[in-house]
Amino acid sequence: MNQRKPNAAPWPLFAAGGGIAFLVLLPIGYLLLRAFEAEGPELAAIVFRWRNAALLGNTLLLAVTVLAAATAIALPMAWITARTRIKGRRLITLLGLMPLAIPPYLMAYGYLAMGGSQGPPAQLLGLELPRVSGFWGSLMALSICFFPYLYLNLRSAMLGLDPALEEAARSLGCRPWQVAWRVVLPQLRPAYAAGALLVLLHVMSDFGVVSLMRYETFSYALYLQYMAAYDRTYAAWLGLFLLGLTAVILVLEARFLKRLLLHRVGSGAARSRRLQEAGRSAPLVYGFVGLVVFFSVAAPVGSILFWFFQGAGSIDVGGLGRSLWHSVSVSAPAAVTAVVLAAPLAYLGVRHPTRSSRILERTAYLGYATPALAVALGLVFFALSAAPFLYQTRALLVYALAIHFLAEALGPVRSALYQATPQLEESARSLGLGPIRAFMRATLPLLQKGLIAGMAFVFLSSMKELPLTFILSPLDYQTLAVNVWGRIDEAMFAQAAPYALAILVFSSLFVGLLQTQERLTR
Amino acid sequence: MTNLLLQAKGLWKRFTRRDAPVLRDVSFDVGEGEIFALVGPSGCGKTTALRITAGFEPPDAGTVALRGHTITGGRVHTPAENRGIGFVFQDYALFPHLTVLENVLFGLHQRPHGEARHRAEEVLAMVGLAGVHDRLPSQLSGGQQQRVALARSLAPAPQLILLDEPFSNLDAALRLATRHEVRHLLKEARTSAILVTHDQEEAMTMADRIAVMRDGCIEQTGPPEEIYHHPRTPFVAQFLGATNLFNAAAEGKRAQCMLGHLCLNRQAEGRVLVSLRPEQIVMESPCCADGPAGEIMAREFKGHDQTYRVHVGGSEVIIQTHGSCPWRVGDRVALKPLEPAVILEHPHDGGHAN
Repeated sequence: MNQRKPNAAPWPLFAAGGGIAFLVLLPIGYLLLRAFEAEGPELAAIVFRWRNAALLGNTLLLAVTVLAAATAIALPMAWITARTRIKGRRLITLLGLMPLAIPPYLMAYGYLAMGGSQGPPAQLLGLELPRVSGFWGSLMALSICFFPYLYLNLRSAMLGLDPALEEAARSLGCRPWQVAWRVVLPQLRPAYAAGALLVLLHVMSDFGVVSLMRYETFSYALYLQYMAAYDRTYAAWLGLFLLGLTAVILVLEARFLKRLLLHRVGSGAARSRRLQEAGRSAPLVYGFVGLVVFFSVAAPVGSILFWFFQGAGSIDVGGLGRSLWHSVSVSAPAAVTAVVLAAPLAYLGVRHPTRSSRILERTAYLGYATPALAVALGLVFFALSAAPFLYQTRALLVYALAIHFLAEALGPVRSALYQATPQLEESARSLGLGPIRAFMRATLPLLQKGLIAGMAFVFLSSMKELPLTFILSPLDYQTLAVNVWGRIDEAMFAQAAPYALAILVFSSLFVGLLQTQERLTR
Repeated sequence: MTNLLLQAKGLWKRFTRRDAPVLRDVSFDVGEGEIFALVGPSGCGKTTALRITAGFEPPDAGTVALRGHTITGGRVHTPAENRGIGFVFQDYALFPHLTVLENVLFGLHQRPHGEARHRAEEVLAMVGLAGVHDRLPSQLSGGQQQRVALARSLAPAPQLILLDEPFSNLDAALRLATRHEVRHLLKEARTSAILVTHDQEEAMTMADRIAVMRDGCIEQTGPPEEIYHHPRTPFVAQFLGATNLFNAAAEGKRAQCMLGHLCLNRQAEGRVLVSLRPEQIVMESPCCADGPAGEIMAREFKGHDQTYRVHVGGSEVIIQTHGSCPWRVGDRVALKPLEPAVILEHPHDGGHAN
């Protein structure tokens, strides 16, 4: 490894990085500006409302219960796939990832469209289910959607545990359940914290599920307030509350992890683990996995398919094609923009890992953590007050998507850069090429894969993105996601189905890409 | 031997059906208060034997009994936590989320809190770690981690401690000091131990008795001196230190080989393979000796001793002398054995006989 002290970046590169960070922070800045336009008593009246406390309560309740439910699903799933010897373990591992391919609003759609006298159980089995909605509906859809984040983290932590630790505990007189409680679980804490952070951030920024289920959290209230339009200041404040809550979660996570840096002590190679025989508990295991798969994939997708065939005779092919084109025509430029913005940040972070370049890189992740509705609102304020020519244009939406998904582009570009060592560029220099040509001819070709992967991630994410598109799309723009949401919101389940299936195709591609990328970097 | 503590009989183990067995009919026993070493090259099955004793792996066949009670064998498999056998892992396996004191307290959970704490502090003081109770394992040096691991397994006062290559992660200087210290601690606590190591010197300095393993079999068991001076097979002779192997024609307790006449350690007739340690041969001026003379090809001076390589009758003999031996490269010398040569059992593969 190269142990040299990181050298400072050349100033044009650093300035570019600073400019990109500015673009990421701009919407948050405008949100703050707009919120503090209110003064004195008006401000007090906005901030100290009972409604805020109720919204905070609702948001926290949802966040905590989703986390608990996701844990209850993810922990056993991780244990089954990492620690037991059971037929079909690889398939089960994969099935645990499937919910990632279903955007939350489609999960909500699947569940909503299941109930009532027209729902598939009523039509096919004569079994009318009550329609889930509100808190319980949101809880169900969100915990199913987000448990894979916990599952992935817990699973890889379990695979990484040194089996000798458990044997040591056994030789010190611990029964198997005591070993799990005293040795295994405490060591999963960092992984759990990382997964929980993702779950909480996603719950905070979720708009699709709570709006369709009509459960009033900060983000749903923000949307209602924004649509009602008479009090934009209050909308800005709701956005700020949402941001503040996100910031609190990020800070708590950082604190928690700081205390918890667990190193593996000792240098010996870990002995490979003996898997537990499922034995008599096999039916229980299969039953649990079956339930999870049913609720996370079979039921929602089945329900969407049912409605698709219900309305199969009257599909508006022209409308579908138009909105597919609309989706592509914002997602593709967003993907290119995101990668163009990510490249300098990644280059700074990898080649000049100084404190300041690390901070610049972090802002990209901040853009990802910021709830999309708050970003959208900030950009509306920005366009209205500083750049009216951008208001309700495709450019503004592309910009929003690019900064929101910047972190997704950054990951693959970074890992590609790590593989293209500076020595390559240096040898190009020693062969007589100038710095820019050296980069173009030695490094860039090696970055290609990373750049393409980054673009693909941002493209596929943008295809299914809802809140940014919803608030910022030009008036005549009807992307797939906006079409689906609008139709489900009006309970036009059959009409929503073709759009939903189109989105499912793109989000499945996303998960497939994620899998191949993970395999490549491993 | 004193009272028998542990007895392993006829252990067989095969991990996958395709591979050769890692243990073939391995038997050994350990007395009360005895330190026993399983030594052999990597892959010889010594760690597997240890893990079967601990209860981490079941054998395919064979039994393990502790104080006469079967703990492994047939349908019996006492879980590791009920054996009262401590285990010190090669990479220590300290719990990274617990402090030093909590690590040592871990195995004392069945005792009342005050007593457990007292015992943990006592053991930590015993291993010389009284000052670092509240540190995390990652904040300790390798030697300190090693001692925490030892303290942790000693704390519940097990009847037997198993040590799996416990010194291999320490640097050379620390290793010597720690070996001595650990032997002292075990003897003081009157705890029996089985040590697994690939380092023959470590086995000989630490253990009261040694079993040399090869390819899943124990080739010889006995006290270090006996095994060193009377190896039974060429492998044991060569594994425990440098040696010279010769083919010789035996006639009673004497034999004829390329060094001339030899004394043998026992009666034999006909062709035999014998071993002579390098320090058991001296060099003399060729004029006053009766054996064949050879030429010194190389000399490694190491301070308090030196090693010579002497060419005799078409092959090379290694000789170990003190540091002030006057012979130089190119000198012609006669070789004279000081001790009777040891007759080895003819090995399956022939070894490197000269």
